[in-house]
Amino acid sequence: MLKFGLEHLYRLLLVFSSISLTFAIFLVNKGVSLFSLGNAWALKSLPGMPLICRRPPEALLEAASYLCYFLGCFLLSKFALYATRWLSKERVDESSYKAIELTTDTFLPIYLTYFFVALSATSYLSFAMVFGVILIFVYRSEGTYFDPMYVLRGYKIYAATSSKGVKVNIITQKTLKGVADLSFNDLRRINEFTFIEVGGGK
Amino acid sequence: MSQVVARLKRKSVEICKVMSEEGDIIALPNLDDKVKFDPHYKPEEGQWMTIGSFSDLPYAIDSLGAVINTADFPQLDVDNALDAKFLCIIQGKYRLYQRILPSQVMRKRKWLNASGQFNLIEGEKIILLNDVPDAIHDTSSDDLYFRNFVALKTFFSKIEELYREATEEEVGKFLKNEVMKTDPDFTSEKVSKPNRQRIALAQEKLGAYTKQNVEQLIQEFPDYVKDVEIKDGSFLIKNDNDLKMAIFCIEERFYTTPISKEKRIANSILKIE
Repeated sequence: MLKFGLEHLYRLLLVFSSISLTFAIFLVNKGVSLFSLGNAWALKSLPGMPLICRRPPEALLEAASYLCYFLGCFLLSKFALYATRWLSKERVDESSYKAIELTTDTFLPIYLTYFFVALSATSYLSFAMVFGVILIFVYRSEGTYFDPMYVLRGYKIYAATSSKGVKVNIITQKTLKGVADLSFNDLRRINEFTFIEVGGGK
Repeated sequence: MSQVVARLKRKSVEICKVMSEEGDIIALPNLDDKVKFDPHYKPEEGQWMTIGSFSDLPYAIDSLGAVINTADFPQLDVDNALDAKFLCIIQGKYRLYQRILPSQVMRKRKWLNASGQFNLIEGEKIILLNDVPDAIHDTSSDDLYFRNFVALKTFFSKIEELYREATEEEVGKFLKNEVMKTDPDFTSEKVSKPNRQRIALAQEKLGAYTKQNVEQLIQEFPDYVKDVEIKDGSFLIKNDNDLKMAIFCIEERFYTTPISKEKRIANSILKIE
């Protein structure tokens, strides 16, 4: 029972990681600079600290903060990839698929729409609402768990048609250009229609 | 890496994926002691019966073939897990089929955990696995191994055609055969299940005999069986056991040993090829 509950938690983590970039974009759009805020607080309450006295330029603090948000998303996606090792493993022998198609391009526009939503959110509360709604819908629809950050790690998403005629999404670093000798040894089930292979080589 | 898949009791649901495991789940039993399947043969203790070229047979339609794609199976929900009819463990080239009998499912049992500290465990749902599976399909040699034919029906619904019961019509026809004279009290409803299976096999053999063959068999029959009467060259069947003896006679199961002249009945037949 506990294990089953954990699997739901992993999926939630994967969804959260896949839409976390909208959070970063929202913060950038709002001009929220954590380092500037921290610096301002330090100036006021920690007088006499040597580093603070140098008064780093505001623009640098801001840029560093924004970079940190994206780094946070990157780390979250790394953790989400790490967490896939607790998902159920699949065995996919050769000649299991009759067709395969690269669909990475079709997923990126979906995320662009999330970004526009993040850009147009006015307050924290409205963003939290929108973020929550997206989270719930992506999670419940079991649509896609493709994190745009995976692109930076060389992952691609393929739509594979099995020999039974069912189409599933496979996230892998492999470059797949044929189905004849295609087999997976470390494919993990994210949901009924999405599978991921972490590592696995080229 | 091994995988466990299951089929639920509801017919409409296809095979579901249960789980995967890094190593082997059960050790493969020794399959050396094997005999080709024949409905007349009763296997010895621990002996396996085999069906060759299994995946080519029409009964194998429900079986898991050599190529496995577990990503194609829906994931079994834990809520439905106890409704599973059978499990199949996929271990390399072997498919190990196991029935889930009601005695192997624990729903509300309490037990004491005796590893480490004693503690009471209750409310856990458990499916017990047998050490020896009911059927093993070796996909490289394409042989199916099994010990109990009845168990196979759980996995491959159409396989009973290999060892089926005679239909009501066939039983009626068999009892009205010219070598059978049935007592008015003994109707076709009183024919037991094993005898129905025997009829399905024997009717063909009887049909192939010439008149002389049948006469010879009936002539020798009283030497072996005293309590079944022969009347006007046919068996007088009063009960199910008489019928069994008559079928045994048709199947040439009565014989005399060449040296000691002992009269014997063959309970199980293994053809020597």
